[in-house]
Amino acid sequence: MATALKIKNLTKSFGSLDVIKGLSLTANQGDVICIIGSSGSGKSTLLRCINLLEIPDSGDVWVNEELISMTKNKRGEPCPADRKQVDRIRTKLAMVFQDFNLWTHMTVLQNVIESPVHVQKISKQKAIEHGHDLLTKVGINEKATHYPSSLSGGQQQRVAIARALAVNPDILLFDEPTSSLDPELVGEVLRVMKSLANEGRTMIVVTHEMGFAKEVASKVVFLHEGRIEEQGAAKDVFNSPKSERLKQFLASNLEA
Amino acid sequence: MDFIHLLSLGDQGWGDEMLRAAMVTVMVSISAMGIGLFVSIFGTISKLSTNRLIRAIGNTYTTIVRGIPELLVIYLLYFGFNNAVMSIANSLFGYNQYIELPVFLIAALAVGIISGAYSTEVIRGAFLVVPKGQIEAAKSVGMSRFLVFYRVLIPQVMRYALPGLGNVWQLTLKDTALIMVTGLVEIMRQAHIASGSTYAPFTFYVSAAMLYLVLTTVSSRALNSAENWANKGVKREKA
Amino acid sequence: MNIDGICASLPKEYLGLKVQLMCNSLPKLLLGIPLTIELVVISLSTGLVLALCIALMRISSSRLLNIVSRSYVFYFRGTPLLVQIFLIYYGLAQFDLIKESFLWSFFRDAYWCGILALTLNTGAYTAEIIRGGLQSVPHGQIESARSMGMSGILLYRRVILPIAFRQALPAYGNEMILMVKGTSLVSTITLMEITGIARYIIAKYWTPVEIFLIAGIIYLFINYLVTRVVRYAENRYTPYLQANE
Repeated sequence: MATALKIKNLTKSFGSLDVIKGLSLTANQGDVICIIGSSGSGKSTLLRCINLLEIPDSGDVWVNEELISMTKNKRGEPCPADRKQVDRIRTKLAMVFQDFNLWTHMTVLQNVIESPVHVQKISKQKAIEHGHDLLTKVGINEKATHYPSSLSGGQQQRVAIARALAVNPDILLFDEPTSSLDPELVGEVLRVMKSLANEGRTMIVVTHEMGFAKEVASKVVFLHEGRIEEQGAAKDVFNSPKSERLKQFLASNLEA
Repeated sequence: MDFIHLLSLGDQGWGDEMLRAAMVTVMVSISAMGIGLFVSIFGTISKLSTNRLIRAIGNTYTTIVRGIPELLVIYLLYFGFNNAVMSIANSLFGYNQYIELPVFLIAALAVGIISGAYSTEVIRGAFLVVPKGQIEAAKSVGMSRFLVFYRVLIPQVMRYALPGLGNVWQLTLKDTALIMVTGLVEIMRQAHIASGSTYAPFTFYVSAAMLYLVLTTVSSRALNSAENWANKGVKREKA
Repeated sequence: MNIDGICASLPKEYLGLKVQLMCNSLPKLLLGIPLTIELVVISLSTGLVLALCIALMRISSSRLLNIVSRSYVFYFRGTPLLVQIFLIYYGLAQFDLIKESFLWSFFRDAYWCGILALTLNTGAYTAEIIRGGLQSVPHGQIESARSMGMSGILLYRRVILPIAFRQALPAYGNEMILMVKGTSLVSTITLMEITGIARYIIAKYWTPVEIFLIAGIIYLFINYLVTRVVRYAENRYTPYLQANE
């Protein structure tokens, strides 16, 4: 089975604060990996290092067995060696953000077809057709000509998922996709994410939604202070946690 | 001669001269605004640069132009340009007659440089206000830096900059009144000439004021429509 | 300290500019500063009082007061300062009615015309700044005060006005600088503040670039001081808003 994603010995600090301290992770095709942990444990940073929204200080990232080549810039700081490679790899790694980040000056449909048309050079007709299909899939096609500001949080996030799917990614990255949503709207987004998982998509999800992780994840990774404290199949991690910290984390998170 | 006669169009009245002068005012303003926007591109790039020296150049420009009275800037540029062109002509071609550049050009350049300093501040501010998430989302779907800039950053910057640039336009329009010291016949100079000739300064300066009011009012209506168009995707906060 | 002595030690010309003349003119130009400061201070303070009245008229329930204040602001913000100055100084002289009344001693004096024009101008802009400041007080802050039983004058004094003041500070600082620059326009009606003196010297020696350069530097310095004062006020009253340098 092909490795969709491989991370080896990733480190990242912000100034004097070490956020990720040597982390390795592998994801196979079809894996749904949920990353959990308390705030500051480095979950979001890890995700953002994968698509290079943050530049790792050291370590290697392979996407679909292709290594993202890094080098050092004029100031001696690490930076990507090939911008075009980064752009190309990013289309295999679409990300869904906590704050949705839909482009406010474009309609819902325009948001979805933007990258296919301008980055992947797909014909506008095809992109629009595909866009409508995806919007129907996430259940929001009737709002295709609306602007994001007229949609609720849950609707915006579903559009964001459609936008991510539109580039035909190999791996979907989710950065706390439901943390900004009102409780009633969380469900509709999780439903979409569940159906994606059932289709066999490779997903890496940073989340606080333990119920979702328990139900859908093929692997759960518990991060603590920038290192993987424990990882394993969902039922093992949740039902029989081995580390003390994980037990404490689960106790304080599941009583809510 | 009473009010109506003084302002009538045609030979006896000054009405047509005043209207023509108003046209000149509008044209100088548009030219100056255009020059200012062009200059502000460089100003913004300079002020947002990571290079300290380049940043200092931009900062010096906006600080000086906004810190000196517009009248002085106009005087300085008017005499400065003429002197500079004359000394260049002298040293390069040995031409030492008195050269005078077209007044419209100098007037537009002078007001343009002033306008540019304010436009720079507005556009720079707009750049800094675009939410980072918009850019990150664009990067995350593989958009190159050029695409991010052109498809996401610029449209958003324009939206945020529009109200400020509208203010700069109004400012530019009113600053053209100071051009009268260069001799260009715009509204103020025309009013000055007419009142000297007819000994009716109140009539003509009131007309001048009315003309400016018409121009600023029409402008603000047009700018409101433009703002509404630019904000078509966004819920506006209730003032 | 012999100014002429110091200036004589400078080269007569440097980079095409008559440096010695610039140096000699400096003390003469500095003599214009008191009048400039006077104009700024008087028009800003009177204008501020006027602006407060206009702001009150604006929010009053009387339709007449509302229309008057809005027209006033509309006129003075929609026309250039130069027109306003000329209208008062040159325009009013057209009317025999004024020339024969007691008002003439006021209106024929460039000084008073200048102050009046500057005051009316800054009054309109400041009124808008005050209005903007009052409007930008977040509703939540007012509601939380009301929910504790605060109302009326107490509410204004303890919550609305302090917040509005802090919101308006940067804009008013800007207005102060605009006023300093505005005083240069009264040189066109014969007042001898900095720009007026500059024009007088230039008429004598015909060195416009040099003299206006020095004058410009003087204004830059004055505005720099004003900016420092405003920044001090911002730091004192809104320390939580200041970016970490």
